[in-house]
Amino acid sequence: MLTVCVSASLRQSMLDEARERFPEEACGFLLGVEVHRVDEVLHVANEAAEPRRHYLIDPERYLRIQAEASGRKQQVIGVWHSHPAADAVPSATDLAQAWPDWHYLIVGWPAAETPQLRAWWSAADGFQEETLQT
Amino acid sequence: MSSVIVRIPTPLRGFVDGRDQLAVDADSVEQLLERLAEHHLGLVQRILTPEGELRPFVNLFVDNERLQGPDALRRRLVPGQVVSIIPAVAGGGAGSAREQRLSALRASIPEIEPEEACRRQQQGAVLLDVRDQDEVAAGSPDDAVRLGRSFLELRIEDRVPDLNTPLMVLCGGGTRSLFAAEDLLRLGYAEVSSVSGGFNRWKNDGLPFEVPRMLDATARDRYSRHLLMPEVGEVGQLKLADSRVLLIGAGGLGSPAALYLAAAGVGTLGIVDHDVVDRSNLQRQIIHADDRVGMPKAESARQAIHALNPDVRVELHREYLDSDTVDGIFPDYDLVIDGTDNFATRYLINDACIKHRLPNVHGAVFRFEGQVSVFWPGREPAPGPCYRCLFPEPPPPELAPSCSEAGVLGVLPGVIGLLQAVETVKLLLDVGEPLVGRLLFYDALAGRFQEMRMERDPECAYCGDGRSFPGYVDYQQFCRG
Repeated sequence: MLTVCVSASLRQSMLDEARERFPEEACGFLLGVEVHRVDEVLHVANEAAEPRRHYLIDPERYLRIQAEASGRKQQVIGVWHSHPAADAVPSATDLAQAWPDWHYLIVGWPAAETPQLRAWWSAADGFQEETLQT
Repeated sequence: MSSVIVRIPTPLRGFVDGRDQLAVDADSVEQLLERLAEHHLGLVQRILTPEGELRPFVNLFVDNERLQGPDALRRRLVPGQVVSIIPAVAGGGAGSAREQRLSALRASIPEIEPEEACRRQQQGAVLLDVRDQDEVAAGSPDDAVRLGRSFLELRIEDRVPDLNTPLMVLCGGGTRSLFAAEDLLRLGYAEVSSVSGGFNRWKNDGLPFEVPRMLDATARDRYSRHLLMPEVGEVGQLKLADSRVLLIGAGGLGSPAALYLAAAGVGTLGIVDHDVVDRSNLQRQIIHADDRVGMPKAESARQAIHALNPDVRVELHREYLDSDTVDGIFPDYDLVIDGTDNFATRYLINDACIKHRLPNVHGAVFRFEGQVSVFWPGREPAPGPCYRCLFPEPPPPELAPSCSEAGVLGVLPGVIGLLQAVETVKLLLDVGEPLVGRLLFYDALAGRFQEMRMERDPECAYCGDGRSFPGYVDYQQFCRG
């Protein structure tokens, strides 16, 4: 199984943001120097027309973040978002809109007592679940 | 020709050997993409459609300006400019509110395979078919509890009172059962699962099912008030439809009993009456009518019953009921309603009911008083007394005048006949406590009911312990003393 390293505090940061944004979907970028280690989690505004069912990131924001990360020798290595009322499993929408070679971290049931956080690697032939390591 | 920098986002770097940027000589975006396609076709295919238009989920920026509109690709470039390819980042939890809800339910409600459900059913778990009537009519798993979704919460406790009974909910395809299962959990059932794939899978997997007998739409309409009652419901209504009740006498007691039993949907009513309608009967015998005076009572009763409920089968027995005819009539029925007004026939009915182990729903009226009971020595497991246990012999004729001699308040047989009808329906449905071993006495003038306990006589000549049926007697002679 593939692995991705995300520290406990970064995980908590996603869970907190997802709970904060509930019932809308929260989203953001994962930055890292290495492809399989998340050094930084960014929270980005959800620009979707129906934010309870979808997320959409403003491309200008992406452009800026990519430029800033590049200045710190980091790169965008993935995306995270939440499913307010679903499991942390890529949906059909996620699958249709996925980009290859990125980590997709998904928070499921952010408002639940025990929200889920699962990691998925987007390959050319679909998502593969990854082991989350600290 | 000028050299511009193309910034490649991480997801597309696989198309450019992992590089994060490329230098390309181009004077326009269009030319830039043509040059890129020469060495990195895969990358350009992610940016342009086969028709050469910018894909909707990719954005191009020249420095910090986003290219938009029909002329975006003709945008001129100057040396040193940076062209960034920015993927649209989007997705989402689910396509619709329904999908989201279902996804949530699937996460919380256990789903089991039909075969596993069938196995658990053998071990005592209840399989609950929550589909609509018309779906169930086409087939439903053997021994399933059939309770449509619309009344599920209101009626489930009547069908499954123990909240610890494991419930397995089945619908057509395994979706509605998830919603139903959630409701059942909320009601307090401890162990609820949903049968994956529903009845479609059940059938395809070759598991046992039946095509249940059901009421048609007209019957559902007619008996809708019964269907609302869990004690009757569809099963009970079908039971009534299958029932055969014999009324001895289409007179004061038989009239209201026959009409209400017909209305209730008792399938077959047998009527024994050799008399004809007399105008003096109409004061209380409401099944007859003025324009049927002179008509045989059994025929008159049939007309009234069919006018009320044409689905009821009416079997007429116009012969005089006696020892010779009784055995040809009684065995075809489930229950006998005694609406006679003479002791000879009352004893005959009693004896024949003992012989054929039938419940005898007894009623009698006299002036302002009436009585009702159920004589049923053949009842299992708790036999009741028979009429002879109370009255081994008839009273002398001078002490037992008939209605024609003593008179009767016209309304009174209505009360008693309907109490007989109520007891009959209870017995047919096997609900409540029948008046077995109890005599309900009604004093209309006092406006009072009284109940008297009656013990079975173990020495009774007809129903006593270990007694074999002694045979019929000459009842006319017996009652003349």
